[in-house]
Amino acid sequence: MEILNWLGRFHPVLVHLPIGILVAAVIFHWIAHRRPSWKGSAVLPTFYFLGFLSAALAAFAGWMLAKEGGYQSDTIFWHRWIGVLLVIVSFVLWRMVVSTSPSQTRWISLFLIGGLLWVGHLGGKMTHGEDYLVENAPEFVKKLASYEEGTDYPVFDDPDSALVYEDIITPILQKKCWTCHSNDLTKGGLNMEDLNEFLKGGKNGKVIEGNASSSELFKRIILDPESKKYMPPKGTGLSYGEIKLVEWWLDGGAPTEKSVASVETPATVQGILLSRHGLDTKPKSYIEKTKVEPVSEELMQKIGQRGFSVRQIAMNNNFLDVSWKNIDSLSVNSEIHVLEEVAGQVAWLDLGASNLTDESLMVIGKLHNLVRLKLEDNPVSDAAIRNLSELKHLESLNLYKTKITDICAADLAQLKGLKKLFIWQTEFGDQGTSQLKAAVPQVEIIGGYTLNSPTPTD
Amino acid sequence: MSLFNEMIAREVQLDTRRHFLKTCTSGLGALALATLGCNKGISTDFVATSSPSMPDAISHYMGRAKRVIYLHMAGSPSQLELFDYKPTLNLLHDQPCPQSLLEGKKFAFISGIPKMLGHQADFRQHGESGAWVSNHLPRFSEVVDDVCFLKAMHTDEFNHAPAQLYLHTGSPRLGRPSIGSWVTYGLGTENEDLPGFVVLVSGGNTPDAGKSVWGSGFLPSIYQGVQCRSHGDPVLFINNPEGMDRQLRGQTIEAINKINELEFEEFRDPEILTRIAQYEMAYRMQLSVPQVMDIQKEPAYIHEMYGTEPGKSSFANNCLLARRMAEQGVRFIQLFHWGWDSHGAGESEALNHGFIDRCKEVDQPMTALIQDLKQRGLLDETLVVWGGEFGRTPMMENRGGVTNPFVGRDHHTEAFTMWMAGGGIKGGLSHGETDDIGYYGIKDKVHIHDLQATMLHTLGLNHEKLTFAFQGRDFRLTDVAGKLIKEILV
Repeated sequence: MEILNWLGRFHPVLVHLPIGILVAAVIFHWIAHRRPSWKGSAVLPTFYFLGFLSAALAAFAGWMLAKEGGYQSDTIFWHRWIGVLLVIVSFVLWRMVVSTSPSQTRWISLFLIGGLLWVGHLGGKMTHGEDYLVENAPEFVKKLASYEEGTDYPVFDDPDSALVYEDIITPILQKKCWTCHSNDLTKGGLNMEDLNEFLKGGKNGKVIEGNASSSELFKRIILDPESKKYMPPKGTGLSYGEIKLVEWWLDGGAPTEKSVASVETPATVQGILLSRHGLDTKPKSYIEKTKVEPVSEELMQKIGQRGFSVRQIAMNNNFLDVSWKNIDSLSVNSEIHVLEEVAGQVAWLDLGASNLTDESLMVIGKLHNLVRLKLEDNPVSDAAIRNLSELKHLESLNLYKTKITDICAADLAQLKGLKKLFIWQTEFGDQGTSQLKAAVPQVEIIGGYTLNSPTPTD
Repeated sequence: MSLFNEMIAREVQLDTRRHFLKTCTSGLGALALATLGCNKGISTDFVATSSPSMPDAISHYMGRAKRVIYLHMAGSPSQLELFDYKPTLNLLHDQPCPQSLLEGKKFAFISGIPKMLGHQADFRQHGESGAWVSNHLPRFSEVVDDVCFLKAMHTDEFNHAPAQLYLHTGSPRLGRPSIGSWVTYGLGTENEDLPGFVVLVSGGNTPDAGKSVWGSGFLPSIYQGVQCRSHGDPVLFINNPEGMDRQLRGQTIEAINKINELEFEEFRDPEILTRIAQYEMAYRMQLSVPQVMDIQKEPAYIHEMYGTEPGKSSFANNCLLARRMAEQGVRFIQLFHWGWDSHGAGESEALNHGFIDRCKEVDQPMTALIQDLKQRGLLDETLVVWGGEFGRTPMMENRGGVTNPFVGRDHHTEAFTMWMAGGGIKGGLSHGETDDIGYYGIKDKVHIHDLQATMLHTLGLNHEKLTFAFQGRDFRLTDVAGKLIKEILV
């Protein structure tokens, strides 16, 4: 019945009556006990009767309000039944103070007060939220209640270990939405704490549908704060950064399991993630993402003595940039084996114009983290290219002025990560190019410039 | 400075405080005083870490470029005749410049109310990126997809010498190290037989700011630029005089260095270490420099590509040398081409005469440089930078309030175009915009300190961390400014 639903809305007003009346009744009860001769004790039955009456009314209205839904949890269970119990206790007290002395029933009155405090607290928790009491409390109270303020955002080491929903979005929802939409309280039938319930939506349907602009969730948080539909209705609304993050999450299809690294991040959100969570989401190259063990100083020196110049790529990056120094007394083909000791660390290798022979490529093929490889101006032939096929991370390969031909295209096709191939002054022609392009579509094959100059002849 | 004056200056420099304290009559007492207080001039750390050759430094982060070729167009070419196409400027041609653009401004020569000057060139879009390039650079327009234009550069200095110093040393006044010195100081050298920082000059004149634009300032002088000549001996007196063979030369240098080492033991002046290193370097350079500077052996198609004529001093020869040095691992190759100051006061500096000649001198070589680096696989690890020290006004210059005999533009600090290509920079991009007449930058403005920060970044150097303690504080190239141009980085 609609009228009953409407009456239910008077519960918050009515509850204050029994609280006031019954507290006064218990105070009179205790005065009457301490001073048996006190004439005022005559009002006790009246007070308890009025208390019982208003409590019954409030309980009835409350029952009606609970029917509206949105409160189906532990809290509402205890609030409801302690409330009913208080109605009964106040009735019992009324009947008892009429017939017996106040001293006999005084302990029951204390029980009544205890019950009132408890039921009132549960009610307050449901209307104002879990943190209402502690939010502005002095520090020691906060500590007692082990309450944590939500202003410090969690900081993460890298985008692979941070989850979009759990680590970035949930803290925002917890701070701004869970007050009314949680396991404890589901205003509008919406529970945003339980993921399944959240995705189901509220009594007016789904709140997450399609992208951000088509989702009720996003529409509500970007309304004019004066609007009745604006969320959250009380307290501070979502900040610019929070709105942008929610938008980013929804536009990405509201993923619940994905890591920050695995979703696309527009520039504005990159900045927010960096400043709020210390997450650097700029796309990184293989050697920036991958960590390898540092090479000892002795080993670096040893490689240096063998005729290579060797350098750590950057301060906090242990990959090595190695090149051949072309010292007359040394031959790269006999010294190259020293690089096997740092097989995992060599990322850039420059052996241009060093008289490198095919056998040496067997060693190079073992340097499995190579990204840039320069072999130009060497008598390297097709047969040796097969040795490179295990270099899965190779992005740039310089073979200009080598003896390669179209034949090596089949082996080059194994290099799925290849982005640039330099083939000027080789016999690598159109056939090899089309064969390689078919297998590795992203590769850019750079030959010589002939537009402004005659075709190279030597 | 005449040789005589230079000699006197050297004499005075040698007569250091410590010399004085040692030889003067007050003797020991004064010497004790020196060791107590005055010796702090040189930090002992520095002496300990200075090794005769450049130390191998580690980059702050992964640099995509390993070296720089900087093509400086000394005198500043007009961006309005090359890259910054403004149809509105053509419509306003010959109209008086509005007062609002002149108020509170200082120009080098413009006075009174100048007239607007439409483009003295025809513009067309080129490449897949649709970059605007004028008819003065026909060859260059073929490589625009490898190039990133910075259309809204701006600086604070409107005269050549301070503006060049500002661009190359981060300060408009003398005394700071140049960017090439900072880079070699930060990254060391790849080739021990060649200087890490080489300077090549063409166009008949050195830049107005003089050799300070490649000086090492307060950095150890081992980091200063070494000027090589493309005409005659590449480095003056590089060949042994008649009657002295290489072995005798080697023994001489060995003896001199031994004496210098004793000198260092006594005075602990780090500049002595630099001198020892320079002697050794010079000895090695006697072999390596003539080799790298000899472009005779380059095949004919390369000469045709660059338009080089061996034995001459030209921008083309210098571009080819720059590529050869890049191959040999020189860290910073600085080219200057003089003669771009197109005021219109004479034929050689008119937009419709001398300027066109300059364009012809650079168009083919700089295009060939990019293509040649690319086909050798060097462009990915070499940063090429091109530009002047400032821009030119959208107004016609009226020197002393009188119209010039030829068409020209005055110096302009508010907006000019530079381009970068290669290591760590996105190609086929145009970053920044100027207003309808090319007077102010209105979007993505780039200050020269931002350019410097970005150049260092592509090499893996953090411009805020590359510092040197001098006169009581840490100095850096960008001083207290500089923002990375993130949009153009790979």
